[in-house]
Amino acid sequence: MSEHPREAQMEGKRPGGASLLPWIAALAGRVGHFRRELLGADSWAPAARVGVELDRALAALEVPPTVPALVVMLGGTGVGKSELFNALIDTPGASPSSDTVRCHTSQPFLAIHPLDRAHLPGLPGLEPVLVEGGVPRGVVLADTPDIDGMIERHHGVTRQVLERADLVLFVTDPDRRANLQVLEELRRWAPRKRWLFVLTKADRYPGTIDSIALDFGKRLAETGFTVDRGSLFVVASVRPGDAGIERLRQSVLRPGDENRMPLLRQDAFLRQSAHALAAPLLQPFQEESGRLRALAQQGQARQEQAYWQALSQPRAADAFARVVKQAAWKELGERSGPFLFPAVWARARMQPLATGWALSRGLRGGALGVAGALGASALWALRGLSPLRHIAEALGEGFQDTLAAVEHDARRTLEDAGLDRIGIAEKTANSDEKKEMPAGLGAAVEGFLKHWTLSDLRPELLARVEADVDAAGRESARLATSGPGGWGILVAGNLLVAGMVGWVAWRLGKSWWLDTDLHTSFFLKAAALTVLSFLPGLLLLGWRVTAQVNPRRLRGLMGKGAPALAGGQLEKVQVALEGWFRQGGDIGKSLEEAQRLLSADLGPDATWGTSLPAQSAQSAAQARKAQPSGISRVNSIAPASQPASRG
Amino acid sequence: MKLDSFLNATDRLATLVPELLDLLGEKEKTPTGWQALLERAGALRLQGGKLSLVATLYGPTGAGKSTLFRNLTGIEVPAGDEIRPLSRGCAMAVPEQWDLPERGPALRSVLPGFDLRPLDRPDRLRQEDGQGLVWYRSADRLGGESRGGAGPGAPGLFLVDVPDFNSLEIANHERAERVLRRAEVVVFVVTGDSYADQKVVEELARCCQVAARLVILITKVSSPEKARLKWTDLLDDKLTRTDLPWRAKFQGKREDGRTLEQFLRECPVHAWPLAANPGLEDLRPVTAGAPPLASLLLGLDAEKVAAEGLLQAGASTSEWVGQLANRAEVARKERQRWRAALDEDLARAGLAVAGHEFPIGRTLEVLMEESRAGQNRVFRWITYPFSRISGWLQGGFQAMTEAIRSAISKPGSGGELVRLEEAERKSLKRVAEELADKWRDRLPAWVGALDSARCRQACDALATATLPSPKTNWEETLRQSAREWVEKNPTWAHTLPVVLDLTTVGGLGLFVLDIGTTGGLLGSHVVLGSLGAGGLVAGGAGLAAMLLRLADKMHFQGVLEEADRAWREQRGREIADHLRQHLLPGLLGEKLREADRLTSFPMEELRRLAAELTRKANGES
Repeated sequence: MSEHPREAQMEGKRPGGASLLPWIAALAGRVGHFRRELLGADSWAPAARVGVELDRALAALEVPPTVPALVVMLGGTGVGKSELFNALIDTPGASPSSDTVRCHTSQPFLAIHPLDRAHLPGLPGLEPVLVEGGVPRGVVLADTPDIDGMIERHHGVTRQVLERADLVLFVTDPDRRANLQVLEELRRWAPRKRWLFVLTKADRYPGTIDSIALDFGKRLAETGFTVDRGSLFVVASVRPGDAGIERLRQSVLRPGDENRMPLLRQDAFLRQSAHALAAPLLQPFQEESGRLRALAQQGQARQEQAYWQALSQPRAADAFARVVKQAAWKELGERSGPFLFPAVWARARMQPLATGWALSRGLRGGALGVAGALGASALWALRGLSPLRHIAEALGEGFQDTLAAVEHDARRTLEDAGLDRIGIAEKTANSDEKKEMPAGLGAAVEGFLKHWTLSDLRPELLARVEADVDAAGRESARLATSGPGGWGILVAGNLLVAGMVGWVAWRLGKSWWLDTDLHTSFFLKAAALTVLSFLPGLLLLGWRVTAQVNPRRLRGLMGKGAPALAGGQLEKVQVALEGWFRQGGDIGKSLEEAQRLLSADLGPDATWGTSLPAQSAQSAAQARKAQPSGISRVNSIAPASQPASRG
Repeated sequence: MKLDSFLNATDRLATLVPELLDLLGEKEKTPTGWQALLERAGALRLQGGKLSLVATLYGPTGAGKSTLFRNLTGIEVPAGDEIRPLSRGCAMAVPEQWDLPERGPALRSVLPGFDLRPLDRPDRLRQEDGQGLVWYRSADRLGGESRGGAGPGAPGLFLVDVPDFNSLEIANHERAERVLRRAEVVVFVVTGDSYADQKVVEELARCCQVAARLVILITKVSSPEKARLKWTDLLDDKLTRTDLPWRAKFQGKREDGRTLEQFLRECPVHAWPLAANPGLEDLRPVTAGAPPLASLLLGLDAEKVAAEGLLQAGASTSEWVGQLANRAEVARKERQRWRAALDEDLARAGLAVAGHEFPIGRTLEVLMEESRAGQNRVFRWITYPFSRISGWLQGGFQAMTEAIRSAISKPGSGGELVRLEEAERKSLKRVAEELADKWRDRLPAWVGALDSARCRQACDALATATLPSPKTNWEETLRQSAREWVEKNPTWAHTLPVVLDLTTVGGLGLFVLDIGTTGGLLGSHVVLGSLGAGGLVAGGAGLAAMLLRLADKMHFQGVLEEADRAWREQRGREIADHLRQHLLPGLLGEKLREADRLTSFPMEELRRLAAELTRKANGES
């Protein structure tokens, strides 16, 4: 297949760009999915802007391929649009013009091929005047009212037609080429359309028209366009056989271009969506994400400081230490050795507070779980024995106030930024670590008890206290059973119990071997001695645990990476914004690449106008930021508004 | 014409108006007429009453202003079509006798506040210079006509060429408008194709509002007849259509009573057809009987026109100041309502905090004191021992509970007072957050944003502020109610203290007796054992019900309600004042001060001064 689009067309084959269509369709799917994700964030202005631009981009793909390409003329009043229109279609008076009265054209004039009449581009609310002939099939040429005259209704009509344009002819004359109002309109539409630039009334400036055209090119460069000779036309509409008119006609109204329409619209979609996902529009996502991250870190630091300060108070430290000791006993079970294990297990579960703590963690599953849960319910009915509540209350009201203050601040920060109403799927920074919810009646009863007794306490605080107690308990148990002292106690304790159990087993074995009976007193004595043999190990272990769990050194027992205390709202929103920024950037890069390939496939001599490159969009945006306010206001995506009146 | 009071009014307005605009947040929205008044009044003062005339060539980019200036004055300025916009600076033609070093101060008095420099080369006007820079050169002729032998002391005509008001160069607009404010005469230069541009018509309206005299020059047309047709289209069609907003815009009144439209219709119109090298000889009047442009300019009575310019600016300002005063009145009422709403919120918050902690202990103490005071003297002597022992027992019990409390919490000076303060602080924190959120939601637009950081600072400042101690005024109300109760219920008043004393002493006696004899078995076995736990609970409930009925029978309710009401009111006020002092400034301090300034702003004086301008403008003096 020929690579040259015109030759390929003549051969009856699809132009080269058609091979990109599947990729572009896939990109359209990604863009659509991204747009749907952003719907929940439409209450936030930057997200709404991106959303509106993406909607416009997607709308380009919804135009049926049978609809002819719309070429629209944009310009100020009196620059010669109607004359140019008539000259291009070689039909004098088709669009009435006047060299006396200005703001003459009030409705769009559409030059259309008779066979395209059934597929007219939709222009709801307008009453375009149709002029048949003068254009090839597949192209409609539109003459519009002005964009800067004193009749504002004309501006709205022009913009409505522009919205549907596939190609725009920007028309101006030498006197008006630096007109701010018209160039602002150009900037507003620049990233979304393909452009050709026409300088009219060349006959009035015979000696200086070339310099004027050069100066006009400079004005367009300031706007951000890279204009090549193929995109700029200098015409004299009133001059018969004008070379500029002929050249423009060849570029815009070339026969056989109807096969290129789908590619043109794909290009429009790529360009507009790339613009929507370009750095200037996505930057607020990253900036706001960074800002929220910093604020969330500040809030967390404040909470941590308050937490440790509260925990260092004697009352809280004592309460914490008591619960940590019970947690340590629970961890000691697997570290205490095979012979001390039963005693340690029993000890870990039999003290009232320990029982409450252990039962509060849930003996999950089966009859034991049910029994444990029912037992915990009796203790929890007294409420004050709930260990977690005990610690939470011991932390004091000052700490609770700090948590509440940080939550208030987080909520207000989101309200200030307009981010308080965005809908985010429930995902956090550690979304991979999903906590598995236990099943079964025990877990259900545990859940009910927690809700009944702890529902007024903050879940984040409870989770944090639980995590810290667990960590401290594990560490205490490890320290208690490590080192020479710990090993020594474990060995001695286990040996003692082993020895006693061994003696009992030897006596039992001997009596069985000798077929003698053992007196009841032996069994009583054996039971008592066995129980007593546990005591030294238990007492020594208890002494070791108490030594490790020092209220003044609790912080050293807890590890890092504990869950945040409160105020996770900021983090959720920050993660969402960060995700959107990255996702949008990735899609934008793919769109730019696709657009580059498609533009190359459209061919170098297919002068379907120049478009505002993404880099130029960025530099234009930066240039706009540097400009005084009169120009920067064109950044608004709202329809063009009246320039501010100063008098 | 005596303009002293006019100028005095202008001077005073120059102080009041910016202050009011600042209070209303409208600093950026001053009309050209107001600026023109200040510029012209300033020039008048500096010129010592000898008024010189400033005329400006004003128009859109590419209209031909600089070409006209060059043709009129002979001063070389950049002109042409090859670059747009071409001019960035202002050029001024001054009468010859003014272009002398010793005339510098006089020259500067014509354009006060501008930076005047002699024009040494034309390309100065293409440089981007600062605002207010005007390059001048002398021109003894204007359009080929001599300016006449006006001496140094005589008023002169100063013609200024300014940049455009509608190109990409935003700074050009500012430079042009600044000169427009000063100029009494405007030559509005516009191409035949631009006469109906939105921006052009806006600027035309502005010129009609501030210029004393206006001349229209339509350039780059094929013939004067074309120019006339275009001008007729504007005046008779575009400006009169009812479906366009321009008609209303041009119905504003000038100082002489004419509407802007009437003024515009009576302006002389000239045409300058398109040519490769246009000359003044091609410039023709369109209005029948109008003199050539240069003659028209030179024939103006400088003092008369300058005075008209001043008065026209005054008239335009008067109307605007009147509208400003109206808006300020509305804003003032709105701010007063806002402050009242804030005070209401504070009062409610104070009551909410006060209502949580009613000092019931102190109330009962006062009641007992008044009851005892109302007892018969003999009766009092008889019951004295019981009341003393009861007092010791109660004091000991209170000391014991305070000791226990201080062991587990911060020790305080007065038991009830410390608990009260803690409870109030807790309530205050909650209330402060609620107030901050409420005010954030209901902030009027003019207040601006109350952001999270500010709310946090204000709430933290409140938390560290010392709470005022409750005054004892409420106790006086309580005592008065208690005395009234004693008078109305003498039997109960005499009996109640005795019953309580006897109960306290008797209960302790029984306890000591039980411990001393049976070792507590009587209390635990006989009493508790018989009644059981259920019986104890039932008994306690019954006792509470009996006490409530007793209180009702003794008509306590009224006393307690009165005490509660007095407490709430007094403490509520104290808390509200505390919030007003420590929370409100942090949140809204600046806006409150602005609201106060607006309330005390001399609005009547402003209106009177505006009327002063109008009287002068209408010729009353």
